[in-house]
Amino acid sequence: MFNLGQAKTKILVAVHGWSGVVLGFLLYAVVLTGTIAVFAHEIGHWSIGRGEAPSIYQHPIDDHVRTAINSVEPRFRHDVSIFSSPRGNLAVWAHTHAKRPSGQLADIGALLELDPRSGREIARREGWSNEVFRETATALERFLVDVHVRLHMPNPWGLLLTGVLGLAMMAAAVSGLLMHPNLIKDSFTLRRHKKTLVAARDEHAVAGTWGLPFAFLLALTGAFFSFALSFGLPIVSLVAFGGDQAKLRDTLVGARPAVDERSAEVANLDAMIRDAQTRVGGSVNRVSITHYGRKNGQVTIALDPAPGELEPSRLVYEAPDGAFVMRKTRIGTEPSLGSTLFSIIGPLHFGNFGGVISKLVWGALGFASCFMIATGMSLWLRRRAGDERWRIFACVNATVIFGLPIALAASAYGFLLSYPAESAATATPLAFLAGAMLVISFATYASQRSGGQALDAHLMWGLGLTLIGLPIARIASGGIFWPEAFAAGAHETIVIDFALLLGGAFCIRLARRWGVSTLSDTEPAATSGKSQMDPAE
Amino acid sequence: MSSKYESGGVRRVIRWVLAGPVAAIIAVIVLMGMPLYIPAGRGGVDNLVIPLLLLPIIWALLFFHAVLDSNLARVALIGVLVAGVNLTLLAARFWG
Amino acid sequence: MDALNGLMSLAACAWSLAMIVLLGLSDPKSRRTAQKPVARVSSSLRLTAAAFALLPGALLLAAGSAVAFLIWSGFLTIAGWAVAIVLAPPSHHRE
Repeated sequence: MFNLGQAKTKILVAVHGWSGVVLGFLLYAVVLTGTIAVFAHEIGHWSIGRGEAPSIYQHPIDDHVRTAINSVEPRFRHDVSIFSSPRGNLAVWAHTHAKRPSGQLADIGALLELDPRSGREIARREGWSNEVFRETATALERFLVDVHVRLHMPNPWGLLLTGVLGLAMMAAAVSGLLMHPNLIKDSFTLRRHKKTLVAARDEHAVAGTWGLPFAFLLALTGAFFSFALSFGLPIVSLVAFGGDQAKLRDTLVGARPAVDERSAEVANLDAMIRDAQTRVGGSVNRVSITHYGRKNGQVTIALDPAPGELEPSRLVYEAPDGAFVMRKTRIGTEPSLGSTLFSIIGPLHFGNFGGVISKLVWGALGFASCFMIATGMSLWLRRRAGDERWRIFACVNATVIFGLPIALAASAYGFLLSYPAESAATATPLAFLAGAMLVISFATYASQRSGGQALDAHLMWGLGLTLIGLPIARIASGGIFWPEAFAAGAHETIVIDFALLLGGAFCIRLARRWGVSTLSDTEPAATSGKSQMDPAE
Repeated sequence: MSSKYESGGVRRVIRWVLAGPVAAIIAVIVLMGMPLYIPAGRGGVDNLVIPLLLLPIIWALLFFHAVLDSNLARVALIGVLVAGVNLTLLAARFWG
Repeated sequence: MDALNGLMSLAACAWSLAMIVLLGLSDPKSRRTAQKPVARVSSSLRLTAAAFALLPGALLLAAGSAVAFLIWSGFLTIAGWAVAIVLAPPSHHRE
């Protein structure tokens, strides 16, 4: 597409290659976990064997919420949040702000889980927010998202690292665009029958060409989140407001209502919810009440985007009389370019703007990005196949590319086996580590025994068996079987089970085609220029 | 004719320093300066969100300029100018 | 996603997929490497097909359906890659 001359193209190739080699493994980890995290919510449902529950707001909740709040300590009744619990029940979080023993400000209160129909109390937990919301049922979902967002590292280092990886992805995308002279002409050229290096180059180039806009979008939005959360937002806020915290808060979330500590009953919540749904058309996501029971109390109703729209909505009501005040933007006091951009960056990155369809498309794009990274590493190594110095790197490459999915699947095993004992929050990451150690040990043994030949195929075998075992482990550990799941409306459980079984079978088929007929074969059969990274085989 | 890219070790090191840490630092300086000249907009947040969104793009521009421009002096000059303008605005904001 | 946006996405994706398949089938370099006779398709015709492939996106944007546009654009990427894979000569193909 661009003819920059040999010297500049050579530099771009070096940028593209070395950014991939140096940061490729971490980037692959972020992209792979991001692909899986698109379905984190569905995986969470699968792991506890339930489907998408009906909206808690389709039943009247006003009485249930009042009863619940009246049952908690008065000091916790400062602010109230109402949302759907991981099990699809009505969750009421009555809380206040206080200083921890360390001096840090945090929320403390009581979290109640109620049956949305009857209002019967199912569970209650009291304490600081980080303790109360350490929900076992969402441990697997939270672990997958956490690895993606900050590689399970403490803030701000994890966020900074994923931000840098976003920049690396952008650099790879731009350099790939600039260095490829015939990007569009070669977009359908896949010479799988040629010598291995040509086939490897085509695989990477074709995946990269078609995935370029998406790679750029992901890199931009991902870097935005990472840098904004770690240091960006505090820095720009400091410059814009000169350290004036009150002005910052008023600009970001709107001016606080005038202080008025006189008592006032909260108006009927169901009426406000119905009004919000009529005004906007999206489904209610969350209801927040500030200064509960006071004259200056406000109710904010957050709604998912209306059909066909990207931006979610927030409507504000006066708590004492239920009067509509305004439609609030996600950030800022009025709709603007900045507030719109802020609202849509999330859906663009997560792919959750169009239900399961958009998630499937985004998941497929994520898989394509993983393939692009993996084939890029493969191409790099094939160019250096005769160089003994890169042999160990080749083994490490196979271990990461095929081993990381195995370790992530191991975290699911850890969750399933520990969930009945309520220890999933610690068991899930530990199982990931155990899976990783197992893979590394096997890879080390295999590479010493057979020089790393057939390592790809053996690990692919392992991945296949691991995936096939997951539905079995889920059911064996007390999870519901398919007829029961269908009757309970837990369709995601059935779909994901089948996806795992099919995916596992596909992995084993690939492993056999790569020349390892059984798990115990040590040598691959002779192949004729067959590329190891062909999704069509 | 020797290419400007057939550089000695020193030129290469300078180029990668400009493309690496220098580009990153200048990008952050530009991020800090942008809230001062990007309009706040009706909601008062445009000058917060837009700089954050532009940060990766600005870094990419600085990085690829440093990598591709054969004239290292020009790369350094543009970097100094961009950083200088933003630092001046910041100084005026906080100490002016 | 509501039914209207779903239908719009589906129609847009189906149309663009058809255009991409045509482009893939008539791609001269791809046909040369597969040792198929080069299709007698002029470059202007291929350019027209490419424009037609992108047309649904413009229509969706004009209709104000951001959701359908994003689904379509993501699908376009996957479709192009998939068509390239399907049309590529198999690895055991002899030259």
